[in-house]
Amino acid sequence: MSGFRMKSVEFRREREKDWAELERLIAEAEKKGLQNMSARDLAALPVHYRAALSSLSVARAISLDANLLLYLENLSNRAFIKIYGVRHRLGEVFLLFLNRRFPAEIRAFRWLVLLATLILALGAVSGYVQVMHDPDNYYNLVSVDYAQGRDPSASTEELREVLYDQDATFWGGLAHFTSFLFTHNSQVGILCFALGFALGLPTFYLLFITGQILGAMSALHHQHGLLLEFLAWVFPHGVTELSAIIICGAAGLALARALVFPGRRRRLASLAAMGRRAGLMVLGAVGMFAVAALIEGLFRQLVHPVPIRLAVVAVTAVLWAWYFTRVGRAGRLDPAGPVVPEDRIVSEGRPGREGPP
Amino acid sequence: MSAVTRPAGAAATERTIHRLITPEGVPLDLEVALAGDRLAAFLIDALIILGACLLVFFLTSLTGKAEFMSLGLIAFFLLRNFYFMFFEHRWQGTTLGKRSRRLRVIDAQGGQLTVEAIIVRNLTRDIEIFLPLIMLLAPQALWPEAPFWARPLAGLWGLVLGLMPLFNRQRRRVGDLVAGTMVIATPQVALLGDLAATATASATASATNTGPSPDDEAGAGAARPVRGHVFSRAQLSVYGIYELQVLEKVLRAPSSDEMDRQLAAIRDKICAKIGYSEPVPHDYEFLKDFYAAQRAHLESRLMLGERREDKFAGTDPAAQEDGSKPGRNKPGQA
Repeated sequence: MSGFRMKSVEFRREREKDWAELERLIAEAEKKGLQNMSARDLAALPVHYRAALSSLSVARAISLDANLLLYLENLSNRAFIKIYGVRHRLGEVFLLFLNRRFPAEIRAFRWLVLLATLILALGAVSGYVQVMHDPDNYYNLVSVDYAQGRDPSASTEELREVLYDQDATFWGGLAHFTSFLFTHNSQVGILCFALGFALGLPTFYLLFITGQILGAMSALHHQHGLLLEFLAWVFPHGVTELSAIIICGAAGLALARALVFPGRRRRLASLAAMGRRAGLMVLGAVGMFAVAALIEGLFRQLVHPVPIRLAVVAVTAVLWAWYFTRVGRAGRLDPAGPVVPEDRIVSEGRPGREGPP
Repeated sequence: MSAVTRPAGAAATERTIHRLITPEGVPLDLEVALAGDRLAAFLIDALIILGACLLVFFLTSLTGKAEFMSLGLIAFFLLRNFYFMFFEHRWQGTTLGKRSRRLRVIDAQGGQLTVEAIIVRNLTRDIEIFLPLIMLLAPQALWPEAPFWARPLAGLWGLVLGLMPLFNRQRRRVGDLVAGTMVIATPQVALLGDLAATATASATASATNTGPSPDDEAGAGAARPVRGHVFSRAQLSVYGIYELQVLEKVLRAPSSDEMDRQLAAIRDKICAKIGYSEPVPHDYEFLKDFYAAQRAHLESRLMLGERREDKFAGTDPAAQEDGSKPGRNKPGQA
């Protein structure tokens, strides 16, 4: 026992045990995960966390021991991260997302969805008119890889052959085709969203050229008298796929809007708030791309009669329309679900009000 | 107690601090992750993804069937897009790579790290990595008929997106900005012994008997065979907090011959500076005593609301004469 009666020394002597206990709890949480901790430890964690915060505040005021200050700072940081880490279970979030959040977000962003649709439609009209006017324009609009022989030099028979592809009836090829379609389209959709960060111009561009390709191909088939067959070929999966592209585009535009017109918030806060919402929409769209790829890879190659194909177009259109307009209406009245980023960021600088577990 | 991952007691000077206020209202200083550490963590993760993909492709190509080949394609897509999301959700903002570099994702505002923040910060990786890479390596693939002036512009734009972390102090990449997250370093600091608690010395107000002194009766040293060194108030008014903490660092360093020479040099310097003329039998014990006395003095001033940052600060006449010296003359540099 030294003769010193320094407050900082006594303070440390008194609290040291608490800190060691918190350190043990953190180690436990790191090893087992919060879910598998014993009930007593779990209850003790936030208590010791607050005690450590209080120790830190006191130490900052009375102690000049650099190691002690650094240690308490570090201990508080580690406990803070444990307590304010990810808490929600994926399955729970996923279900809530499907039957509430996703359609509700689409409705909340309906003007941007409309804008994205408009851009896509403008692209389609422009592609259609250009190719009808002069078939050679087709080469400017559709790349050779993508066309795969479907260009103005192709005969009507060749075009028809693609529409009623008889070769692709073995399952392996189909599965391969499907997975390629899914991964490729999803990647483009994610890109469409992410490019919103670049003020949205690339998003506009991607939407527009997607429309142009569609328009150009329609025109090509129209010139060969195959328009209806072509539409029946594109739209069974196209309804789903184009909706997904439009949603990704709208999400990208939402990002751009948050950056360019942040409103009363600071620009970064506005971007972060919008980004989290828009990113969820993209995730929903990735799910839609999977559905579209299944339809495209399996159904379209196996079922050829035009009326059935058109019936599928109608069914998917009605289903999606119902999903986006009707499902999850109650969700808007119930903001208590676990996924509520919006109001958390509105109050600037004021961090989340959710308490520790 | 946990392992030390940084020289104990040393606050690394180059670290950037991000201060956030916890929901409990206490400011916490977090250490922003270094760009190099983040790159290393990403490369580790990328290698793991690549290795897993190659493995899946290899296994599926063994079967030679197209159905299984398509599995490889889907596995690649899932790994590329969901590897980071999965681990950052599962492991509280860390991945394998981040764990190895002791990095962690947190909410930049100090709130709960949400699932959607994790999703969003990983959806933008394409425009941060693949797009800039393609622009640098094969710009014609993206934009075949680009006019000559557009290529460098597009390349520059891609670089800005990819190198975004280098343009802000908090090293946030595009995904961090969009999701409102940031990555911090989480080193572990061990609690070392309290140097002041084991010191034998005492501070007395012997030189200036005026004013209250909290340590009047200190130094009785009942348990100690030797009475420690005694410093006067004037002697303790020379140095400030900065010098105190440099001295702490020196005292906490592992002992060696080199260290002993340094201690002797520092002891000489301090003795000369504060005018301590009594014999010093042991350098380390003397410095430890001086540290304890100095800390007690500065802390008691601190409680009276006077924080003396270093030897150049303050109103003490003893310190005024040194103020003219250019530069900092740290006791730790001998």
